Amino acid sequence: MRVERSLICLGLSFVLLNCGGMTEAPAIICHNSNCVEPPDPERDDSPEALRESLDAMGDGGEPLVDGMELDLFLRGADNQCVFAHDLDQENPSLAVDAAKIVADWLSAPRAKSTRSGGPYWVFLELKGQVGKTKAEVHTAEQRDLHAACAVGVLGVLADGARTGNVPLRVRFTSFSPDLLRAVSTQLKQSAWTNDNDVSAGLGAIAGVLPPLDWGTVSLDEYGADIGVDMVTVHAQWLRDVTYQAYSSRGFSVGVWMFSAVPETYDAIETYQPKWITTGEAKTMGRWLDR
Amino acid sequence: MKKSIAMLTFLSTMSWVLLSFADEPLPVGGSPVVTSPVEASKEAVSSATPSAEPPKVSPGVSPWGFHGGVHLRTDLGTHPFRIDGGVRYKQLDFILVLDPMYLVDGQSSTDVLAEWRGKNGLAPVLGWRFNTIGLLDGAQVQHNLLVGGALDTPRFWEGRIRGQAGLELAMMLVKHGGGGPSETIGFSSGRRFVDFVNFALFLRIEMGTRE
Repeated sequence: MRVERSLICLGLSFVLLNCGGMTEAPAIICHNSNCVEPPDPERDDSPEALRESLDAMGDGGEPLVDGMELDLFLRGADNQCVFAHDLDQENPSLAVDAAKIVADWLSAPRAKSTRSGGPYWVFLELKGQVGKTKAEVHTAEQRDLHAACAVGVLGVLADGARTGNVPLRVRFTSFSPDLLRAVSTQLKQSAWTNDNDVSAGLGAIAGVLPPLDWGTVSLDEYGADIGVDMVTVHAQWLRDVTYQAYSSRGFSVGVWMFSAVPETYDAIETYQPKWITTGEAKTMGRWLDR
Repeated sequence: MKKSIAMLTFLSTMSWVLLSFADEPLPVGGSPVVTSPVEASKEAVSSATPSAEPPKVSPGVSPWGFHGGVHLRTDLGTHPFRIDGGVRYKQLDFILVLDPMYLVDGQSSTDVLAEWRGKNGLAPVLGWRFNTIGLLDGAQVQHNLLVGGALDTPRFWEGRIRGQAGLELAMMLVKHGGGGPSETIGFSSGRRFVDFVNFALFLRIEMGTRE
């Protein structure tokens, strides 16, 4: 009996030990251009928070992040393309002005531009609504305006990166397949070509799932014609089955969050994302370096 | 490697301790410690003699009980395997849940729970969870309010092996430490609380004194 018990205990223990560990460090992306802690959503997508986040350094003077996420919002009332998370934000800057802040930062010489030493990532999230509510969606004309704005921002960023000799990787992201399709079309019309210095791609976003939030659409709606090659998913709403679906389509996977909790860290360990989009750049970096 | 050996030793020891409940000795004479009032009355009647004093009824179920077991879950809110132990007084059960898998990744979740064990097998649960997240130079601590409910599972071995399946809501109220600033939950924007409110299912299996 004692021998049997010992074997059971040892077997259970070996099973439980099979866990943990990251194989490759993900890139840290600054969520909503605001990742200086503590998280303060009221400062999201503001020029002040963007500048602070670009200049944020770790304890050893190294960059805290590998890239920046900028929200591009087409304000339906006047069809202006602004740097904003939503219309609750007062007096948002124009999107192109926010892009110039990043471009100026990229063009300035510095020893190291990213935490990992790799290319600088910029995620340009195209918001899928034009008013205060998610029901207020783009007209076809507004979609084209929004896409043109995003491609214009890419040009500003590319100029800054080439001036500063910083390899730049831009990803247009959205919950809306139609917006991504419009961007894809405009990239083709503008004869945009990727090279080693600057490249652009398209990414889907997934978040809290229906019926709690109807923003996340089925993967099927991102048709092959769009050219999506990555997806960024809320860490607490990523499930095995969807992860397998992303993998089967060849998507690279990133995770995003507002503020990390144990579920977030465990999801990162489980799914090994390529990018972590976070408002807590320093904490996340110290967790990865532990 | 050292962590693995320490973890292996710790888990083996804990499993041994838990399984040792099976060796709980019967009281002298071999009769169960706990006797229901109904059974006690029957025994008293069958052994009564005309000349004897009115029989004294057995004191019945002890208001105190002790238990230890495992706390299991498949979601990512805590490690999948934790150990718990508790003390019950009448229907009120206090439970401490510890996280030996801290040794694996430096992250831990410690729960202090209070349950009111209803007679119908349902138990409302209220508690507090301390999460520690291992960082480069220290740990961040996250405090969670726990609210939930649990339902008794079937009992075995005269009730010494029993369990609960339940649903919990964990709400992170504040996090601090690890060299960073404090952050508290807020409700001015969804971005201030969406990540902090999480539901989870759990299963507890425990061994303990008879109830």
